[in-house]
Amino acid sequence: MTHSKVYPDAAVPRRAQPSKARQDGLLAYLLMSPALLYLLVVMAVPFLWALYTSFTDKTIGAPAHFIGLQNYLSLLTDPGFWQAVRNTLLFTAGAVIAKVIFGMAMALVLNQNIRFRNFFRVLLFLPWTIPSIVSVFTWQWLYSDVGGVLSDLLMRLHLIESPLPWLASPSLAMFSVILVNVWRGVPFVGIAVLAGLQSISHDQHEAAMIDGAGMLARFRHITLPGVREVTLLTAVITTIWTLNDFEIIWLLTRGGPANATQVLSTLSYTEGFLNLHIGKAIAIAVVTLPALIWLINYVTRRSLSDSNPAH
Amino acid sequence: MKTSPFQQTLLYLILAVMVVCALFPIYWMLNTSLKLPQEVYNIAPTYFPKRVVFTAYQQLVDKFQFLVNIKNSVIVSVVVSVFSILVSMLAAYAISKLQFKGRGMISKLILYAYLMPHAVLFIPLYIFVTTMGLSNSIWGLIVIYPTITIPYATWMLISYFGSIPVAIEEAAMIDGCSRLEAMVKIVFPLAAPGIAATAIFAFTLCWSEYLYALVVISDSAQKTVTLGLSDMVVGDVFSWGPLMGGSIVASIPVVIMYLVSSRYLVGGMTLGSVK
Amino acid sequence: MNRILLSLTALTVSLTATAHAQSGQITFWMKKQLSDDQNTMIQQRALEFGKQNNVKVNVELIAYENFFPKWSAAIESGNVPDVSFFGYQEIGQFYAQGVLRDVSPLVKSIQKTNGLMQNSLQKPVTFNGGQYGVPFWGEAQVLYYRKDLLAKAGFKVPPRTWAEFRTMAKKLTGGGVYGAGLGFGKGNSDAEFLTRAILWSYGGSLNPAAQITATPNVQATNLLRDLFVTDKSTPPSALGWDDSGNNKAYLSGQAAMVFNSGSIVNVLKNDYPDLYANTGIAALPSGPKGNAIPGISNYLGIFKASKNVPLAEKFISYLTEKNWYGDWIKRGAPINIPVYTSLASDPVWQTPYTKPFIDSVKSFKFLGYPQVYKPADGEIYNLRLVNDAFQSMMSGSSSVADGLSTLQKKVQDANK
Repeated sequence: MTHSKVYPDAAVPRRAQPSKARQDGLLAYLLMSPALLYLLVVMAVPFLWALYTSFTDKTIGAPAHFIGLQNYLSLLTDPGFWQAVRNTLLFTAGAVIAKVIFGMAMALVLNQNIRFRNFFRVLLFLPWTIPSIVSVFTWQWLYSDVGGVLSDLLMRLHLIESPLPWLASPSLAMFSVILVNVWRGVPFVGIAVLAGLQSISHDQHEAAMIDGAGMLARFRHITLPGVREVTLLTAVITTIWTLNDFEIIWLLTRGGPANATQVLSTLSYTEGFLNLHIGKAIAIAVVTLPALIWLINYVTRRSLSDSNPAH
Repeated sequence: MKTSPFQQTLLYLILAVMVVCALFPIYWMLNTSLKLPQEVYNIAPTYFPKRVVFTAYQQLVDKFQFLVNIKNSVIVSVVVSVFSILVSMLAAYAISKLQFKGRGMISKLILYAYLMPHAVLFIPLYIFVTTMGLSNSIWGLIVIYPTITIPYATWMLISYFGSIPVAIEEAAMIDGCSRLEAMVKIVFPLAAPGIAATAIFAFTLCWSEYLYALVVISDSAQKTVTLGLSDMVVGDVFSWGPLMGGSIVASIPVVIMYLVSSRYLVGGMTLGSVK
Repeated sequence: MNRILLSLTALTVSLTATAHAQSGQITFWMKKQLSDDQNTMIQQRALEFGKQNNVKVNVELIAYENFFPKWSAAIESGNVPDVSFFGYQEIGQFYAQGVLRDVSPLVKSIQKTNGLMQNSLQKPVTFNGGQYGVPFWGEAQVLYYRKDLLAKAGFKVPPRTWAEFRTMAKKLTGGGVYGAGLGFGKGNSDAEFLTRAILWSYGGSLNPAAQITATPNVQATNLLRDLFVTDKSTPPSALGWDDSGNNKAYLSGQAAMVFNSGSIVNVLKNDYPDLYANTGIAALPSGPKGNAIPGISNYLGIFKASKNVPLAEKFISYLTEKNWYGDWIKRGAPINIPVYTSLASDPVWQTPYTKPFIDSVKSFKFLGYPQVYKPADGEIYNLRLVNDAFQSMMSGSSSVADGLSTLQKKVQDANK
């Protein structure tokens, strides 16, 4: 039996014994079959239908005719589309970075020995439990100039003189929608990373402290490596969800004012379900595919090579 | 673990700031739910109701039949999250611990399920649900919600399982455990915090889902919590009291779920005990 | 495994098909009304119909916004409601997609039994000689004003023209109160209609697109610009308002005058008795070229894919039977305006709080005015192109000339 060192790397690659390889392969497919079967049966057709439809002129209620890349080409020449692309990048980058930073902070704080720790965990978890549609209505009130608390507080602190146009000014509106998305999304990163932190043995920290390692050193050499993979994965999943997030922006601003918060998801919804141009709407969504595929490939490759028992 | 008094104070300070930021909007919801409609529309906001009234909660039960919505959401979320976790645990174990051909491709395919947004997928998924005769029923939702939860759950579990050293399993197998026994008796228990966290989130993903529910369900008796809440907005008139009150009530089951599974969230792998 | 799956699917499909073919039930999607009474009446009426005809009627009360994804999913899957509510824009859009039934024979027979329906409500859904919706109710936007604040400022009557409106709004602004409660958020459907009404009353329009940069539109836009930028008589957040923004402004006392449909009246009556007493209602102000009220009309329609057309038609006749209908529409006054010309003289419509609504119907103008409504007009409305343009002109990000010419280009693109 191998002794673990003082600062072990959590995942130690090992070579699987050759005689087990084929058994493992069979077992693997058996174990994965429920998940794979479900996804195949339910998702495959919708996914392929959507992809195909983006190359057609389909509108709701009418048959589809293949038109090749025409939808995509018309998007490329539409300045509204490019504005949506810019806004999407801004929104996603801003929201994800904030969520990861605050989420990690939340996880680190909750991992400490504080009194009533469980109680605080529940409290900090609450924003995620409120359905988006309701968070949005609440934040509308907070942002309002009639009975709105945010402006009121800032005015009482004499930081501003009259209510701020949180959702009415093109420049502020993006910040406002990001704030709501972040408020809601931080607990997800926080709890996910916390669970990762909890899996790191206290023994490691104890041993390190006996050796004289300070808090920062322990953070860098034990904590961070331990949760790096979980954090990265959480960040990627959060990015995918944020990129596709529709409800928050739609319900807060519908993409306004003056398209300042129009992102690809809201543009797609308007085109597809208000204007019935479903082919074009899907094309708008498909545009994000290369970036998402790259992200997914990157994180899966990375996660697998680290935790793989072989090679 | 001992920390200095300064570090302790700093810690509690940061915690306090976080709690205020997280809870203030929720406090505002509670505050609004206890006000009379006139007070809700005051230009200057009141931080505490001038008059506390419970009519909003009364209306939730009588007029909006909110309890039915809660029941439906609980059924859907529990069934889907249990199914998703079980299915994902198996798949995640295979991908993170076993070597097999096509490992890279299959693991990517699972996450590719997220490539298309819901707003695009709901039409074919609705056709699928209708074909199965499950349209206008919570079972229609139960059948399609795992497309949202399984990719997420599988991958989060892959990373939680991955952080458990192979050495532990191998030690057990040398001692005579089969692969499956090692999986169930060692890996799963050690990854309990991760599994619990994943389960909770799978639950909340179902709980707050809106678009699929909107399309699949029309019958009021089958409506979920999100649909019930959105029904309180008719055109440009919002029933603020019941809406805010309903959201508070809607978060209670989730909190209960969280409390129930939070014992498992307190983890801590000790190599010593395994030795 | 494959064979089992295939046969299972075949089995379920055939079972579902049989279920649909049963003449035992119809489904009705209805827009949820503000008035609980009205909602209950609809459900009871459906029950009655069910009993009398030995069928099951599934009534779904759906908030307007939620209809869109549901309609799309229904049309694409073939699982359509037999009878559905539609706004006139949707009738136009769905007619263009070829998914609606021509209901002109049904309308004829309903009018024969119950009396004439308002012609202005039938025109927007008549295409190529066929009519694709049975008028069910209309809505109008009116001016709400604070009688007390106006009196204090020396005004005895509400503004009759937009020029008067500007003058009065300026005088009413001050001390946290704003005279002109109108806004332009992207979620604001009210504003899309109101802006068009103002343009139309100056003789301007969006059709044909070439007209967009012409003088009448410029004059109308300059008036709005005066309100927002020169006089600053609009609340600071107005540029971002959604549909509930003007409600909030009026109910909280922030705005002295707002424009809205009848929804505010009932809220006032129920929750704000003092404010109710101080509220006056008038028709929209006129412009140099007359009065234009943005028409909002709502219909009952039948999808072509419906499997129970005779029953669907019978149900629509049942819902538009004059006595029951008269009772139903009364409970929704003044939000819901009756479609039968004879009902306009009912006392319910003769009070100061309701008369302006019923009087508006004859001045109804619809999207696409002065031309006939076409689906592209509905798309332009959905895309909120007008709101966008006016948001940037009112915020100062673009000049009136630039804003209008950008709008013109966008409308021309949408019309292609």
